[in-house]
Amino acid sequence: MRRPWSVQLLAELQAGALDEDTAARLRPQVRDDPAAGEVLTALETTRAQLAELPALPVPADVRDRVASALGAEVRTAAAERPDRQVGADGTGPADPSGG
Amino acid sequence: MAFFGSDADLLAAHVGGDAQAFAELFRRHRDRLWSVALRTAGDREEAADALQDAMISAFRNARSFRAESRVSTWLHRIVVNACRDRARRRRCRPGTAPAGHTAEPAAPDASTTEPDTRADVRTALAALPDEQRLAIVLVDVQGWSVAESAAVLDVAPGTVKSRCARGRARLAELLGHLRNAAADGDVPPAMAVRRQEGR
Repeated sequence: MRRPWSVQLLAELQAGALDEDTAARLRPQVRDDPAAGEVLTALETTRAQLAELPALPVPADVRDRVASALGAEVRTAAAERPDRQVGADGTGPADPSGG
Repeated sequence: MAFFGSDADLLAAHVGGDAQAFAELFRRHRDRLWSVALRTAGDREEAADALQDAMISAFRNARSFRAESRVSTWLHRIVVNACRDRARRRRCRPGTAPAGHTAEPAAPDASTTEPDTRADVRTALAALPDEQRLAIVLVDVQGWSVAESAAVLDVAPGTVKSRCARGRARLAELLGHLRNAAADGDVPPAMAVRRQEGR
């Protein structure tokens, strides 16, 4: 018997990517179909594995390189607009190194 | 100097001339921005260049930030666009191979103790088309909402959902989770399917 769904369609149902009429028509057909349940479980397992991927901390050399480029931007801005060299509280001179 | 203000406060301080505010903003978000840059570019050097381009662009164009979005959304959007710009320029340069997504770069501390399944997920993710991978990275890996991801990618929320759905289906297949499931393609042509893409 042909099933009224594909893996792609179930993924769209799960993601809320189908319009409400299509989703409403599909849900009861999926609910009582163990094979559809297996696919939905597989998709959930996939999502859980993606969520477990660790963060990728920025490597020290990249961090320092970007911070240095931002420091150069601060110095350029300060040279162009000396009136803007104010500290965070607006009262004192800024650290010309850009922190 | 320690900053305790919100991201928006920091950006406003930067626009107002505070020399250290933007550096603090970068410090707060740099790991998340790097994760997205690396997973978007797929190449360490490309990601590093894109992150630097993006931060300089954000530094210089801070006045263009509009308060209706979050600062982190705005920063991520600039990083994603910088990655795309670099990829586009690379494709246009004769004789230059595109940065390969042969495998998602492992975390710096990845070692032989990394679970095999995690390595499999990285490899499978790297095999997705760029737009699907990006949607999946934002929503499923980074945990952003569909609405926020749509704002980062500058597409409709329905498009994010659709790309996530296609990407998850492909990943589930690549990861072997569908071995026992029915073969794909059983949908009868008469079954009218309407999607939200573009909405």
